Amino acid sequence: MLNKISRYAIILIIVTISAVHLPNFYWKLFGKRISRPIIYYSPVIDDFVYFKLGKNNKLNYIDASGKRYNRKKFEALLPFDFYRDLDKWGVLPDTIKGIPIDVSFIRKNSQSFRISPYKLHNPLIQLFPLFESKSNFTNLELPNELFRIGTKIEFITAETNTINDSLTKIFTEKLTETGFSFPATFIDGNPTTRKPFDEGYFIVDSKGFVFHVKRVKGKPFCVKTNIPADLGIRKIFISENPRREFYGTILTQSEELYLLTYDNYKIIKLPLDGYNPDKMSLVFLANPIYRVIRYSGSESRVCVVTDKNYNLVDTYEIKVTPLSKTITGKIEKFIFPFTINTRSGRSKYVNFDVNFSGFQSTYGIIISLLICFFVKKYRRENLMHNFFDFIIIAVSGMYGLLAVLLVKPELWD
Amino acid sequence: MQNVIECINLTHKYGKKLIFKDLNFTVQRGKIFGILGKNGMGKTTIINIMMGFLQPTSGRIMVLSEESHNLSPQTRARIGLLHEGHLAYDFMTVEQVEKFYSKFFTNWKKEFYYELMNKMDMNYDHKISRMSCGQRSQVALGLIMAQNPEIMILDDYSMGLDAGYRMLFLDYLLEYVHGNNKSVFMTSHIIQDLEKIIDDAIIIGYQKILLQMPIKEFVNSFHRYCFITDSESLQLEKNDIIKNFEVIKNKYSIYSFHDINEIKAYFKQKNISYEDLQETFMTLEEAFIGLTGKY
Amino acid sequence: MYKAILYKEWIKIKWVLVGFAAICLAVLVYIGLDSRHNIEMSGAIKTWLLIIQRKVLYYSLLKYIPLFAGIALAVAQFVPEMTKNRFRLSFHLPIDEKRMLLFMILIGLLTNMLVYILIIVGLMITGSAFYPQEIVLSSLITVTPWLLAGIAGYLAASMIVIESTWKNRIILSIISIAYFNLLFLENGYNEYRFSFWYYFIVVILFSITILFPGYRLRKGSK
Repeated sequence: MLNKISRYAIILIIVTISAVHLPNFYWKLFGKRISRPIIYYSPVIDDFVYFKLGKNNKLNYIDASGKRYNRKKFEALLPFDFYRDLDKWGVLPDTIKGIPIDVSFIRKNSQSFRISPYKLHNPLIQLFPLFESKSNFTNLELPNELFRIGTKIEFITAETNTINDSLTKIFTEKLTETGFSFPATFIDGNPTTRKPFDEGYFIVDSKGFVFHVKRVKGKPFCVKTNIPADLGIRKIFISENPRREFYGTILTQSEELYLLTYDNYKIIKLPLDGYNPDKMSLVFLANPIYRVIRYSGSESRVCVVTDKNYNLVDTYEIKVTPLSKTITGKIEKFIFPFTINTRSGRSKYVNFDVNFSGFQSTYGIIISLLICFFVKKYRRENLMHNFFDFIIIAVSGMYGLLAVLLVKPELWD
Repeated sequence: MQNVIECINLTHKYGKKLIFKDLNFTVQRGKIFGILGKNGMGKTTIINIMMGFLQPTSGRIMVLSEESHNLSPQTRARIGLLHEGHLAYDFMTVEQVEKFYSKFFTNWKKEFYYELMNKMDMNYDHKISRMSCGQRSQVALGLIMAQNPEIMILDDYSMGLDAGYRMLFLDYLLEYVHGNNKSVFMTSHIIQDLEKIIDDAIIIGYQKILLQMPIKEFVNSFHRYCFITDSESLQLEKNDIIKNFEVIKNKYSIYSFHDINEIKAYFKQKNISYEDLQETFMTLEEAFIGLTGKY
Repeated sequence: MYKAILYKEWIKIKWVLVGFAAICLAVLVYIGLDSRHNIEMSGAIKTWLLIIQRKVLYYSLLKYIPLFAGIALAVAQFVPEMTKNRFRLSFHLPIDEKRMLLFMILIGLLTNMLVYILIIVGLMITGSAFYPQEIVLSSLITVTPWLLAGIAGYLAASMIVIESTWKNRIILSIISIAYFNLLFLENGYNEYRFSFWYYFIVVILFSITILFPGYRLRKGSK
């Protein structure tokens, strides 16, 4: 009995490992590039334009009405995106919609950031450097200590690996004074010296209030913002930009995205229909006239345009055939009843995600069962003695077939 | 008298190659039983089946009334097994291996083992992997004697041993078995040492048993007759009467369990002309080879 | 009886254990020296942030040691049992063979654990000397899949050594390597935090895999 269980342990291991690796091999063998159009909004023709991979693997440049362009003409429709090229060719217009433009004007009034799913699924040690925000020098410098925040805000001097009591005391007292109730729920910032200036951290306290904390001339700066405590904040993305329009964005549990503005921490909801931060990556582009937000998942690409006050101007969506619905993807479902994914671009974690293929896999399972039946007949095995073999194949299809045939039962059992 | 080992219709094939077919024999309590045969005739295969290391193609062996492929640990404790080549845990020393085995057997007789080791002047911290074949055989023998089992199964005890060690081995074995009502099952391809000690034996040849009888009986009843013949094309065949024959030019030797008169009658019946027919003396080894063939 | 088996296994593996303990100590000392050197050269804060943000694993030298230790222990335990068909000695002992095999595996696992305890304690000591507790904790979390690979490596290697045919040995080796691979996918720290237990379950499956090849060996199956 135990020997039989042992055999099935080997079989289950083979099934599991096949479910990880075989679909991988399958895609490496048969995977094809599929077209993922990139959508822009042209202030010249006031319409969406995009390019996508056509047949022959050539890029096609098209506008929303279906008109085709060559690359140069296409870029001319998008002066805020391709101003460097246009400037080089000497065709950058002087005005757009009556606004005089040049390269430096565009550059000053542009801002972009990207929110990718992996930023939400990324292990991070909760220790942060608190930069000096008002230094006498232009470049940001690393402080001598990192801080952690739990029941108090605690500074650790790196050189000695000991707690800096005075900083800890000053900051903890300041936070408490400002109305912060420990422990902190979470903290977000942009802890890098590669940014033009520092806006410190946004810390959510135990009651859900958001506090803005910086170090100014060595002293704590702490503001309790008026962001509603019941907003249900999931993550705050901070990215300092010289335009100083917003600190960054706030993502809520209900998958809404807000801009966190310099206007007394006022928040502005972005009109993003169907945005799923766990599956889609989002690009935000500000130009002198519009805000263009693109987000794309496996089935669609959406482009939303708003004016400078974030009133919706227009949206455009292009459906994309996801890999799973290509012929290769359909055959995959037929062959493999499930797959196990360990790594994805959407997470920095190593996963163990089991994805079931649904009813299509029934055919593959039936074929696997038949093959097993005939091989066992050919090998003159007693079909009933290891009947569990068939149950394994009925659940795991080809993986089970492979495993059962590789690990032969003992004939005298 | 009780049978300690019963072999019933045992047949074994490796793949399609038949090793032996329908072997039947029994080993009685208190007896020394030998399986003799040239190398490659399946002696070790029989022991492997007997100890459950191999599944026979058909038939079965009962050891102490248990199926050989399913011997319980308690029964295994009653069997002392000397493996082919005096297999031992090479990585242990003389002392370690005794200490190890002693924990498994309730009747452990430490003194048997150390007596033998002392006789050979063996250092107790001598590692088995650094021993000669002979020394290792004494360790293996010492261990099964200390185990004090009801049955000893010795697979080709003589392999790699020179005459001295073979004698030593057998002396100890005899002393141990006699009077203790112990049984021994042994295989060998060297027969002369066994003449004095084996009670009953089978001789196996290619795919079958050639003979099953006590050695003394074999020596007494197996004959070699030599004769000369003129007939150029004399075709002898092996059968119940002529077990084996050899030809050198016109000189013939035949081996048979029948007496000279029966041979003469057989020749007459077959119309074989002969001169100078006489029985010649054989040693046990010659008789053994006469039966199993030189090749 | 079990004491005797423990005695026999100990004779076979003690030098492997001592060897790997020495390797671990040497690597841990090196990790300590390396940390000291980096902190001295680039400053503590930079070194810390390199670890936190760039996800440099300062202990990555340890990565494959548990796996190699596991394989070496399995080889030390089971190869002497297999050469010259010596397994027949063990299988003739008056003890149930399944229990014996599982007990041998248990001894091997506990020996592996000794190596892991050394690694964990060593990481705690060297880590605490140079880094804050969060980093030390992350190092312990990050090495767990590597330790798991060590256990898997031990169990798989035991099974492969005990298996009696080369064809099956090759198949089992491919499967095992394909599994080890899954435990070394990390690009940074703490990445197995949510999936660790799934991989652990697969290792649990590995823990009884030795019985089937053992059974085949016992019964002389080809």
